[in-house]
Amino acid sequence: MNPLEEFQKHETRRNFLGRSCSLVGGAALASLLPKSAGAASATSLGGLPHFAPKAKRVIYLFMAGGPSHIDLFDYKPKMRELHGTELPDSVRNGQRITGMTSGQSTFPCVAPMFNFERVGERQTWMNTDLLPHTASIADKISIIRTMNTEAINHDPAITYINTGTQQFGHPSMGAWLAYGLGSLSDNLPAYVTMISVGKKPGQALYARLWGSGFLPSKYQGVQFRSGNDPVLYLNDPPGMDRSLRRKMLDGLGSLNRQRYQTVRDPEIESRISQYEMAFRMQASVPDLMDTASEPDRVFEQYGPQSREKGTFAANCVLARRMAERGVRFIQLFHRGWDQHNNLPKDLAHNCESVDQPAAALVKDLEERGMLDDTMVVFGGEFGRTIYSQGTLTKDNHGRDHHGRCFSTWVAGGGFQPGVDYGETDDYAWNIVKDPVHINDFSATVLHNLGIDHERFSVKHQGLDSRLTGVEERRVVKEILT
Amino acid sequence: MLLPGIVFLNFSGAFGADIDFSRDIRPILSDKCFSCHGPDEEHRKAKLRLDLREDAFADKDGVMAFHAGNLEKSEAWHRIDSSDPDEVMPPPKYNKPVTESEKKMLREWIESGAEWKEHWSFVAPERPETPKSKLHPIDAFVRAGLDKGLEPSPEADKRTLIRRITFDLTGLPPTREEVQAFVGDTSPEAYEKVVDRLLSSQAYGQRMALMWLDAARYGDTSVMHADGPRDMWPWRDWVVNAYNQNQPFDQFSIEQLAGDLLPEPTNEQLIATGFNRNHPSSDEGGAIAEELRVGYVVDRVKTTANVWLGLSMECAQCHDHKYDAISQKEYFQFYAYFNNTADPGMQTRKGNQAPFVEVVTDIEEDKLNEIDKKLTNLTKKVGEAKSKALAANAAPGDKEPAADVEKRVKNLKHFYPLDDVIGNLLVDAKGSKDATGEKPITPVFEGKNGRGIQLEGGKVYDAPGITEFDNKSKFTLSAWIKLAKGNEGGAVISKMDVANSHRGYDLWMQGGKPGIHIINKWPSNALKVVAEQKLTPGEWQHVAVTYNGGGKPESVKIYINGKVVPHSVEAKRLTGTIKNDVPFRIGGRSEGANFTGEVDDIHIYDRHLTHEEISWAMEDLVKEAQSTVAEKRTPAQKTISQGSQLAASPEYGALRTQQLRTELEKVELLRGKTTTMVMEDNPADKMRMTYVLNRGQYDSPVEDEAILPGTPAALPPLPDDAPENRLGLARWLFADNHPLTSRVAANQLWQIFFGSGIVTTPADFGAQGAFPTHPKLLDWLAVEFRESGWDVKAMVRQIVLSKTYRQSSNVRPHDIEVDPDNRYLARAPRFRLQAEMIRDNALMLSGLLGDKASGPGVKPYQPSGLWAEVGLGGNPKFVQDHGEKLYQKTLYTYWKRSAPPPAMVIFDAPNRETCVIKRPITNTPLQALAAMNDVQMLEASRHFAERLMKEGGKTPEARASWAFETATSRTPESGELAALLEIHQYGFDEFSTEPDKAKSFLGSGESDRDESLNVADHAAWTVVASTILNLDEVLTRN
Repeated sequence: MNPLEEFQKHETRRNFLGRSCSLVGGAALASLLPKSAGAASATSLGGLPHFAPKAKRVIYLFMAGGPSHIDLFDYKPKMRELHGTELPDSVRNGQRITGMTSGQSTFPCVAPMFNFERVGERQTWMNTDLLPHTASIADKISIIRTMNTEAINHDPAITYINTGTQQFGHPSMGAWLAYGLGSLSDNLPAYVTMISVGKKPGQALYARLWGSGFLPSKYQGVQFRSGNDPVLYLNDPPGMDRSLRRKMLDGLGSLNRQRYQTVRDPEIESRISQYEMAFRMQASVPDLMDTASEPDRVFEQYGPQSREKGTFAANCVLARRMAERGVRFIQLFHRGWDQHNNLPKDLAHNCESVDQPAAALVKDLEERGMLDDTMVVFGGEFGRTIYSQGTLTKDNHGRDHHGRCFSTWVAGGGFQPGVDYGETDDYAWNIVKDPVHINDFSATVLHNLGIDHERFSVKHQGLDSRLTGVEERRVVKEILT
Repeated sequence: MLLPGIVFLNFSGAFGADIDFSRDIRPILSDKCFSCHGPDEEHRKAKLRLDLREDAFADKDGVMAFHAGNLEKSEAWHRIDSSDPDEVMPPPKYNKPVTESEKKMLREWIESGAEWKEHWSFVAPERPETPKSKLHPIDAFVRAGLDKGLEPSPEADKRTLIRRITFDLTGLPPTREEVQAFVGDTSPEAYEKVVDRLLSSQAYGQRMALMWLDAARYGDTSVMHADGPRDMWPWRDWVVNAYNQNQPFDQFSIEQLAGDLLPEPTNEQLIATGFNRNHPSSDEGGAIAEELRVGYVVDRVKTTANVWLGLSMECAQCHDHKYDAISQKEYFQFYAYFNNTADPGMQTRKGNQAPFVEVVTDIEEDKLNEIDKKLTNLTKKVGEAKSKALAANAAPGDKEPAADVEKRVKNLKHFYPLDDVIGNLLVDAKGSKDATGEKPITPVFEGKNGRGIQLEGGKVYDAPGITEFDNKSKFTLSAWIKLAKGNEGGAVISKMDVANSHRGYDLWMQGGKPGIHIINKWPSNALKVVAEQKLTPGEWQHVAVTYNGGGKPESVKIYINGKVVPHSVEAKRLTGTIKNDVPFRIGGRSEGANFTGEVDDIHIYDRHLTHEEISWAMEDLVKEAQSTVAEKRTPAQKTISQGSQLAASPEYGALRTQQLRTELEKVELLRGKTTTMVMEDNPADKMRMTYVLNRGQYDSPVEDEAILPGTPAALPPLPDDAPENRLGLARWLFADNHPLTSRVAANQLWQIFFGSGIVTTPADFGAQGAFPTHPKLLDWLAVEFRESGWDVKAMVRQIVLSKTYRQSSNVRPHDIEVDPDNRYLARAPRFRLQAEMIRDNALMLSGLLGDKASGPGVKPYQPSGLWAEVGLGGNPKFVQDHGEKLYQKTLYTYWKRSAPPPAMVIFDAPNRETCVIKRPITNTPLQALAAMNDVQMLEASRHFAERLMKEGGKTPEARASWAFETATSRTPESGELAALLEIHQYGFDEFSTEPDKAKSFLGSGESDRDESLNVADHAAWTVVASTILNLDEVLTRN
């Protein structure tokens, strides 16, 4: 039998065996529910965590489209000299580039059209035009400058970094964690995603990015949305108040319990508990989403957009509230980072939406004493080329996709603060030192959560499939506390 | 994966069976050893193979991995049993220690003589001897597996049984009448009759297709990058029909894998090949076409191998398979079958990528037949009227024919003298491609040459079937034109498909200046030139445009009154085809751009007239012909003068108009046809070579050795005469001695009815797959299926008629202790309905369910914004359908794969990006929310409530009981009835005091409410109905 199914059925059976006496009333029901926050082992997979975790949860700020590492985190003054010069063949070295620029006759290098300053104790370079707030937390975050991926186009690249492989049908990182570690909350999902948009929606997203792949669908990310129904189908229809819903569920529970007396299938008990959890979610989710009780200073901290529902800033506030309430993996997608043209303006626009709230989130978590056990990750699926896509003018240009190196910053939850890791060449094109493959990075995230990525596998089509794929991957211990 | 050991132990340990190599030992060797000591040559350690008997027992310099009957001499045993970390196997780093219970089994196995067998699924099944019993073989085999203190369960009660079988065979619940009839039928064949009735219903094929669509990764969008729309639903309809017609499984498979390679394939057989066009495709701007194309081939290999062979062949793309006997080279031999396909790497994001075939739906086909019949009839009548009209005396004439008359009209393909005055017919006096329109002709009695016509107020006339021009054709268009003041634009004549990027041509007036469009795709691939000189309004002037096929502005000349005039260029490059399937039109384009003004003598030549020749187009050919002595008229003159005669006959005019209209109707019908993507191989002279791709990478072919199509050596050889293409492969799957196909297929069918297969890893029958719970039963089914001629309905029938299937699903305490997973089937399985059935059940109970049985996917309710949130640039947007499209079976719901129908996904439907042969079943709070609050479910509850109020009787008791019974097929117990009535009473009290609440509560969905029903009562019953639709029993197949 499929081992996964074994596990599922075993869970059900354990449930049943643990409750062989008859099922009566709400008190008995309570014991069917998942354990409350803190007792992580109650819902995690047997044997997990493999060792003491440093982090309990992850907030992954995913910038979809490929943010330019050159213009944000991997600047070098030498680029000023290179500006306008042709990218040497010795740098490109025959590497493939995308079909969008492979036909260009010239590849002029472009230095960022922004002001950079050295910030933080380590005096790291940062774009202080676009990222003044991130600059202010320079000592709390670490920048990995040598993230790399083999993919050079969005669909494969974004699938790769989120699911560990470019092939379809594999679980996302959040789904793996929901499966392996379970939920810390008894009324919120283990894995939540939220989507916000920069200036333009830009590149597509796909359900597979937070999907469960070959794992059961219950582990997929639950999308929280800014409209009236923050979770799909959460709201009861107009005209149905809480008491009527309660009455209906009491009746439903009674009917299901009566049926259980005849059928004795433990799945019925499980169904009853899921309806009760749904009822609790109907209260807990709106409570979570209602930020009215947050003091003004919070909104001031996260910036003016944080009062506007559906913005990245507002979602950052929600992410912190979810973290407080025990959501294990919170993934915020921010769309629109694919600057093939008009980079100076569009990048500025995107940064305006994310800089302040992302920095605020780190500070806020720290102030609440949560940063130590919460990982915050900020990055996209690849970086961008040093050369200009299209015509380079005095104040405008574009950049094509670049997977050979890009930058991601991390904070909290087991990561050292205030270090830079890895080195790229003057063109921010090739890695010179300490590469971090995207699956090395995933292995590192798992490590902080107490998981050995090599031992965390599910047999699928005969193979022990892992989030980090079939190649050998390593935990980047050098940047861990 | 880390699991509590208890589960594995149960398998053989708990029941104390003897060691069986295939069941107990090979899986251990495979999982723990093969990775380094198996088929993968490159990564093999110590040159030792443990997947082959010769190697496992070979004496290598006095050392043997296994020595039958002798633990001491079995080196592998020492290594496995060692506690020395440097010596123990597998190495600790491998993270897969051999457990104590596994060691125990290995020890017993070696000591008892180390019996060795080939991997079970690679040995062709033979019909096993059935246990001595009066039972049907299925039951006999299942009972034989029960000697573990388990007893078969009694037969399920009739009501449970009919509900179970109806869902299993049709995806729907039984009606009350069907339940009553079955309960009342005490004959021994009662159940059999139900089974046969269901097997012959249309819903059977729809239900079977649900499973197949998952396996075939069917969807209505392209998945990658833009995830744009495509039309593959004709393939989906093909699948439903194939099941309903009980197409034998071998034919069903061969047509899907290689229908295009069958001799003279039918359109249906081509449509079937869409199976392997359902995979994701992309046109992402930066993508490398070959990388994508290789990805498509890889997907086809994986899906084909998973579905028919139950092999994880995909594992051998980058290196030899680690567990099964499939080398990387063999992978690429299999790959070669799919590598010669004609579809490109970059595929469209909008519609279908060639190759595709046109599809005529049943309705269209009926219509076409009807039209053809009508046309045959009309053609006869028109012929008769024509003879009659021509029999009348023609004008005698008194002149000799001019010497060059035939030369002048040799290339004149169509000539509309426009002298007509009757009805709606414009006669083509040269090519007989007459034109007709909705509005009657307005004749102009003072035309240029005889009469002309007035075009205004959207008067347009279409002619089907005129001479087709392309971008490299030479042609001339001309007409006499009298512009009306203030109305100086529009297409005088055209053959242009506006909807398809304006493909085609027109003779164009722009601000009083004549010009021409010749277009492949406006404006990027098109010519447009316009004269710099205006026509004078109110005057007859002759306009001619010639084109020499050159595709450039200088290829066009514009003449006014026979003189070339300078022109300006507005589009200058034409390289693509201008052919289209819209009719030729006088007075406008396929859509709009209507011309207002007077027109006379339209000429169309299939040559570019020279400067000297252009005057030919200006002459009054009718007058010339008619004034020629009748007997001396040239053939062309006869035709032209006959045209005038025909135009003068009212009878001919009426019939000919009717005929043309019917022809145009046919053109329109054929134009609207859908396409569906199909498989096609490159022609012999453009065959694509296949090479092993190093590490599976598209850009690393190992070009030393060309790879020819072939099948893995561990499986039976191809027959000598097998064609070296997909057809050869497809037929090979159904060879009598093929060990896998029959087992894999029988297992898939079994899984439908028992929730789980006899092999629980239906897509992996390899060394790492599960061993069958009932190996003999599986082989019996496989052989039976094959020998029946792959008769799917017969196989299904045998399975569902078995006592095993008909058992009660109630769980007895002892059973769940001994066999919690119900592997041994001492009871019938009980599982939640699959996503589609949950929705269909609600629609059926509510009476809303529609009867759509084919056609494009429909878009019922879904929460807003889901597509825009993920779509490329926020597009496309979801546009919900209305009316009956909201209530069709879920099989017909539009499946966008980057954002699939949310309620379906919540209930475990896959996104259909990859082949899925088994859906997991989960139980989550989101399912509860969807079942309670999805508009579709609430609206169904409202209508179910309406039904119970109207059909359920007068008293609350009767109504609640009626509704419960309709949904569960059984009558409620008193406690159950009481619970429903309590909900009703509570709701009624609340809604009575707040009728506004009741009204808004009843507002779910777009269908009307029966206003005659009391609002509070209806609302209260709707809550009851919703409760019933949420019952575990109703969401479950019991």
